[in-house]
Amino acid sequence: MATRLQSRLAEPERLPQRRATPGIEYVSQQQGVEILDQQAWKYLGMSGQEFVQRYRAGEIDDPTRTDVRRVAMLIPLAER
Amino acid sequence: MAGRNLHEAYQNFISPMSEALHCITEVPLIVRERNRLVTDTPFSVTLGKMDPVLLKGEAPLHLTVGQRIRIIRTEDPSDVRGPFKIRTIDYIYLLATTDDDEIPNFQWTPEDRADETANVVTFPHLHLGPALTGSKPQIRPKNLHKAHIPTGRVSLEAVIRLAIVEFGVRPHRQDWDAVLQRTEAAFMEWRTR
Repeated sequence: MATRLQSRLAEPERLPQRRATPGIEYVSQQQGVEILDQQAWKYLGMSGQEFVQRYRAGEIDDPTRTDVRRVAMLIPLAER
Repeated sequence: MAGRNLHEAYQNFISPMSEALHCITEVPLIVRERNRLVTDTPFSVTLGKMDPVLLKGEAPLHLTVGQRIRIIRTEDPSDVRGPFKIRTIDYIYLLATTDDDEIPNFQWTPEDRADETANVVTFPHLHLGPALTGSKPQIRPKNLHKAHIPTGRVSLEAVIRLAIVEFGVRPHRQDWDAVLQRTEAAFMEWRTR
């Protein structure tokens, strides 16, 4: 359990260092796609693309649950 | 928050939010680059990648913060602050134990379509997590954590203050209360609903 939880914790040193604004990381659309995909696999066991399609089609079971909300919040990062 | 142009409105929103969060964590906000800003389009503002963030203190906690926003253009010529403002699409502010048992989970999804069967409401609300309800609550024993407790709109600063004052999270700066008062006052003045 401890290992699983540890792996889910945010790790600031791994975030892209693109701009020098303290406390804010500005990411590109491509980086957003990668983040969405990474988190969709981590929390929901599917790709980011599959998640977005199923989410918008209303095909995600209980879309109000926390793990779904975690990933849904990231959708705009990946969009043009 | 508002601004004379999209970039100013965007920056005036995320900078105070970042400053408030910096009172308790070094994990940065993640947002899209500013060269792609357009009106009426969703943007994410998330603490890290939406993973639980460890907060140190008397009892360590996990914090999750996420908002989706859009920049809108208002038509009030008397508003010297500028025509561009930030509108919240939804938010989630979640405090949990380090085992990820939720404590309070504050949510608001004003642009969702209310659907009782899908457990979707559009008013600001709170879910009481297992860390508060225990394993055998006397009402709704199977799903009390699904109940939507009305809250009114909750500021991020209120949640940070809750973590510090009530749950013993250790602030990273001595003047955290002044910082939160300042950033929260700006939020209260500029919010659009």
